[in-house]
This record gives sequence, C-alpha cells and structure tokens, in this order.
Amino acid sequence: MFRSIVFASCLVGLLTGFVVTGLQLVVTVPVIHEAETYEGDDHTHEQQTGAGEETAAESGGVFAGLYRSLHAFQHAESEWEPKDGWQRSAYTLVANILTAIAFSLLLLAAFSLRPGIQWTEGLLWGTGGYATFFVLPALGLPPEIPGSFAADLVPRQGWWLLTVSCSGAGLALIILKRQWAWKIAGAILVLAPHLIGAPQPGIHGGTAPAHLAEAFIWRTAFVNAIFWLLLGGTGAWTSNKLIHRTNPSETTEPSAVSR
Amino acid sequence: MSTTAATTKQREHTLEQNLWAALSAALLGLVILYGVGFAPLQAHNAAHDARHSAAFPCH
Repeated sequence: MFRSIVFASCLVGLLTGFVVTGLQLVVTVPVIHEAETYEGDDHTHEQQTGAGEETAAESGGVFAGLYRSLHAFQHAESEWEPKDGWQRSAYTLVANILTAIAFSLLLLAAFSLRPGIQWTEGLLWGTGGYATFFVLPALGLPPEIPGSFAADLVPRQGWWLLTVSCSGAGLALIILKRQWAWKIAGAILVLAPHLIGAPQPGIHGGTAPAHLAEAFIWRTAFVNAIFWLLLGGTGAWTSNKLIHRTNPSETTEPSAVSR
Repeated sequence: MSTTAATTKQREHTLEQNLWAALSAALLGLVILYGVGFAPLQAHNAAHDARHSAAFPCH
C-alpha cells in the first residue's frame, strides 16, 4: 500500500512538475527576473525588511533563545546560486517536481482511504488543496516578487504553517462532516489565522514597481490553480488505477481468510 | 461463524494497515515539502523561482 502510494505520487509529481515548470517559465519567472533587475547588484538574497525587524528577538522572554537560533538557521544562506539560463531553469524544474511529489503524497494518502475515487472528485480535492496551500495563506501573505519589503522570515513562515494547518483541518471539517457543530468549528478554524493577522512589514512596497508585484499575484494564482487541478485530477485517476487496483486488501477475499 | 469473525478481524487489520500506510506517505510528503519550501542553505537558492511561484514565504 505504502509503496503504491509513493510510486503513484512520483508519477503524478513528475507529470505535474513538468507541466507547471513550463507554465512558470512563461508566466511567473519572467516577472521574478524583471523584479530582480530593480534589486541592484546583490540581485537575489539581500534580505529586505521593513521596520519592526528583530523586535521579537530582542524582547527577551522564554522563547527568545529558540527564536534567535531558528532565525540564525533560517538565514544561514549560502553564496552559491544557479547560473541564469538553463541551470536555473533546471533547478526550478527539480524543485517543482519535488514540490508536486510532496503534495501528491498528501493527496494520495487521502485518496488511498477513499476507494473508487473518480477524477472529478479529485478536482474538488485539488480545489481544496489550492484553497489550503495557496489562496488562504496568500490572503495574509501575498506571493512576493524579489525585493518586496516583508516582515521577518521566521514569523511569516510560522503564520504560513499555522494558516495552512488551520485551513486544511477547517475545510476538511466543513466539507467532510455532516453535523453543523463540526462545520461551524471548521469555519472558525479557517478564519482564526486571519483574525490573528499575518506578520506585516513596517513599510509596504518594494524595490520593483507596484504593477509588477500586482501582476505577480494574479500570475501565481493562475499557475497554482493549474498545478492543483492537475494534481487532484490525475492524482485521483492514478490512485484508482494503481493504488486500489494493486492493493489486494481492498478486495478482501473471504476465501483467503478461511483457508 | 468463525469465517465471518475472521473476515471482520482481517478487514479491521487491513484498515489499520492502510491507515498507517496513508499516514507514513503523508509524513514523507511533509518532509519533502520542508526540504523544498523551508530548508535554508543551498536549497533556497536552487529552488528560488519555484518557491516564489508557489508563494512560500521566502527571504
């Protein structure tokens, strides 16, 4: 069972990774490259932060030590970066395939517990993934082009994780449970991270023109929608063909037991 | 009677196995996701454009 989930996820991830990389290279990556031209010499990874940087680390408290070590770990970036052109695109492809395999594993883990799932239902699951991993977190932390002013990385990653967990659990409760009490609990979970609010920079904006930042949001929204629909649709189809068909436990032959 | 009891037991057993398989697969997915989307160092620069496009919080 485990092996067939992993195998099916790799197939779905490879396909989705290739398709989405093709789309990204045409739709989103040109915007990233253009934004980088406004960043100056150190064109990628100079951290751009607004006011409010370091305040959480300086304020002492029980978690300050942990926060500082996490902060140092997350900022320990190397100087190496892929050369523009084929090398950079190849790494984007690898990263996309890995991301797609990772999300496929999550989706197909769920599909494996739902025998007979059709690709149309897979599309709905894909839409759920799109809402959980893209739309809802993006409401607080919109997709950013390089050079955007942003709050410190660790709190943003924390909020992103919180939002993704709450949104996933909340949507699951709303859609999969029948009782109203669960649905309401789910709705509260979905809303909670937004009531807390995402970490925001002191100053909004960035080095690149605003229209570029705005265009990037809509372009990533489009690419990620395709990504999730493809993952959901092909994921359900593959799951039907590979996981449920090859898994003997699902046909549970009584003859095998009584023997 | 013993056959039905055995069948039910077997069914419960496979259900539990399937659940463990699903959970392990999901966990593997989360580990890979951390590696691509959140791990620092060289992974960051290599996966840069993919991370921005997926709207993961990035530098």
